[in-house]
Amino acid sequence: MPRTGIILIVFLMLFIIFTQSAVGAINFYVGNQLIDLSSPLTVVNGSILVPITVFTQYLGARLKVDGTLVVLEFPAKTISMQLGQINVHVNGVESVFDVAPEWSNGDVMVPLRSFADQLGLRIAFDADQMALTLVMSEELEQLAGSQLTTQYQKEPGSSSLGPNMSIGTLPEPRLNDIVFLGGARSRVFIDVHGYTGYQSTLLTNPDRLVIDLTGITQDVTPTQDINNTIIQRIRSNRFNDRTMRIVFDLNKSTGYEIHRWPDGGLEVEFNYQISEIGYVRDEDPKLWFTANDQPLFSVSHLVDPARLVLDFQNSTLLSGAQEFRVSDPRVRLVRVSQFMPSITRVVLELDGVMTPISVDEVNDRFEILLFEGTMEEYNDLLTINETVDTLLPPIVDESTEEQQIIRYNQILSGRVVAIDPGHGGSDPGAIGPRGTFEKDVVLAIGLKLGKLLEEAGARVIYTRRTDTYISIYDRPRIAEYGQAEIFVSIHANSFSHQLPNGTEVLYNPLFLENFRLAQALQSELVSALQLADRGLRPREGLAVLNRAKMPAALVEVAFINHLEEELLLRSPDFQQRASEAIYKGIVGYFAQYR
Amino acid sequence: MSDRQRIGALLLVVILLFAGRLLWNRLFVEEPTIATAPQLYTVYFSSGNKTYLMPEYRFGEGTISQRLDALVSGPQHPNLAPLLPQGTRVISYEESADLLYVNFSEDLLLHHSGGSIGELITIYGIVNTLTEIESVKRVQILVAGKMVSTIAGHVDISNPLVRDWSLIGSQKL
Repeated sequence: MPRTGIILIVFLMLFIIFTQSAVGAINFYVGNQLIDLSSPLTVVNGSILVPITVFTQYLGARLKVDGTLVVLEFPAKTISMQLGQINVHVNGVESVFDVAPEWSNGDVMVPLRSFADQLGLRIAFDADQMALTLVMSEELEQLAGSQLTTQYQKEPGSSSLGPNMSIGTLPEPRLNDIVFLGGARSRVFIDVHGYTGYQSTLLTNPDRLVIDLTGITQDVTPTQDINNTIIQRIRSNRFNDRTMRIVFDLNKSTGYEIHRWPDGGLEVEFNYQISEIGYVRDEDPKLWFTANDQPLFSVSHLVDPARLVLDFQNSTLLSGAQEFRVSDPRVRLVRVSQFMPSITRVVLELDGVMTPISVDEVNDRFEILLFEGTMEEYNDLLTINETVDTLLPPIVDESTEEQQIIRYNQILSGRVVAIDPGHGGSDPGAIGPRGTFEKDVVLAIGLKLGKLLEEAGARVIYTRRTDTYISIYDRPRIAEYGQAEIFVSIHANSFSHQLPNGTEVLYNPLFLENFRLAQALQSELVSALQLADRGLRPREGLAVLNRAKMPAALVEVAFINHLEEELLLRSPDFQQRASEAIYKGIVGYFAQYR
Repeated sequence: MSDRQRIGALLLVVILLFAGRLLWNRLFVEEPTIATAPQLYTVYFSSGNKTYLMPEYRFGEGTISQRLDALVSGPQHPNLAPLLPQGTRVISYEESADLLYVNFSEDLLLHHSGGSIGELITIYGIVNTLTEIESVKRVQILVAGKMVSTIAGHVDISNPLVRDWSLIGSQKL
């Protein structure tokens, strides 16, 4: 029948059209010129890496390679990078890239977005065409078209990367030493100078961790006897003429993490060792465990049957899987197992809801206090108690302004506060209807807050002071290295609809201190800014709050996509009031709890 | 009327009856057989002007691909709003035991309007919709085939996520 024929043809056409748009690699354009890339685009941690030749061949940059040092010279900017490092120098000033430049099959791959930021260029992606475009400014287009090509012609003998040239001039990485740092997780620093690839595996019989370092040709290092709870000894041998093998003889196979340090070293960190887990009810129900230190854990609630699940991160269960019955009105059974190589899972089978509230170290063991109810019920209870008891001291008292300043200085003197203005650099955060960037207003508030704290004698650790991109994982790390006592992240909220408005503070409900800090901040912000009170928001999945190793809270000052609140967020007066409110919240928290 | 005409008319009547029967079946008989065993599945969307998730119920088996299609094409109810940034597509998905990997196009990251609440709604709208499926307990969101730390700078999505009831509006009532 002709109708069937027509349907068939339509289907065929649709099929052809759809398969064409979905299949096929991304085309990369500089301006409107389609680029024939020397290596395919790759994505690392959400950042697109492009071959560095994009900048030498199409944007007229001059390239110098000296060992692991890679320098790109643009007419007005010189960017120098080290392979494997996110810290770079732009015209001699330190800056940070999204991800580190890396060496891959003879090409240096660099993060596109970081470069675009530095050069003031925009990146556009057209999903239909699968076209990724580095949008050129007019001046650059002209320059790239005419002057630059002549101005920056390759000098003969210079180390610009040609088609058949790899970075053969990379110096040999050197293994200086293997240093046992110790600690609960038996940290070991493999001090490598230069960039080395590595592969790691756990082997059995006997239990050992093996790390193969490529490109290290020197002699083996002497064997070190450690004999602690995790490691027996560390030795090395030659795997082949390009590869050095480092062997950790272990008491028992255990999970590990390897972190690469900026200057090339590798840090090995083993799991926490959990030896015993039990349940007890004296005044309150408690889950206790013994371990060489306290691992972080995540909490989830399951229903049907009701269960409370605690996953201890980076931990090894020495005793092996076990389960035991409990005679308790709420808890029926406790099951313990090595759920994944680095996660110890504890499951409590319940009659009714239970929520972990806090962890304390008591008599060589850790006790997790359990609340018989949900987190929300616990928070409500706490809020009621605290308002009734008026535990928070009145921040605005009758003393003169001068006396108050003196009092604040006493409270804050010597304190260390981490301020984390959200987003930055290539990540603008949310964007208001008038084009206001979240990254700009939160930085302004953060700097004003820092000034107030510093004037009162506190030491301030900023995760960023300028418009730079810092990853969400590095932010709490910066606070930790600075030995901050509390971590305050400053953000502006946004939603797909323009109606929601107001202030909220988010915190990780796992630890009581987070709640206290969040509450101190929220109450000051609400009374100072007089915006809608969206309340305290317990949240477990936020990266900066989860990874902060000190009391932490994330302030959402106002909604940047709300027409009126966007205007407020832009105004220096409002920014000042917001920073003063956060400042008072911090003073209140220290005065009350620390 | 000749015999030939009579036979022709009879044939016409027979054909018309047959066609009528087919049409009747198509219009009235087949549909109730589908409707007698209605299957509903739930997809979560942004509640529009409130900052939480609302369920929308759809007819169908509720396969993974149906649910993903629903997330991509957006809500049918006028008061609800889409979760995903405009242009976001699902490139692929894969089940591995109780873990479902869903690979979105880069629009999820490039065109997200930001804000911690906006990001939470997007992420947990996806996770809650997919964990409605009995066999799916955890969801790993990938962007352009890679694990990413976050799509808008707040929620850590480098690990699989489990269901979050706290963002669902009707749960609060």
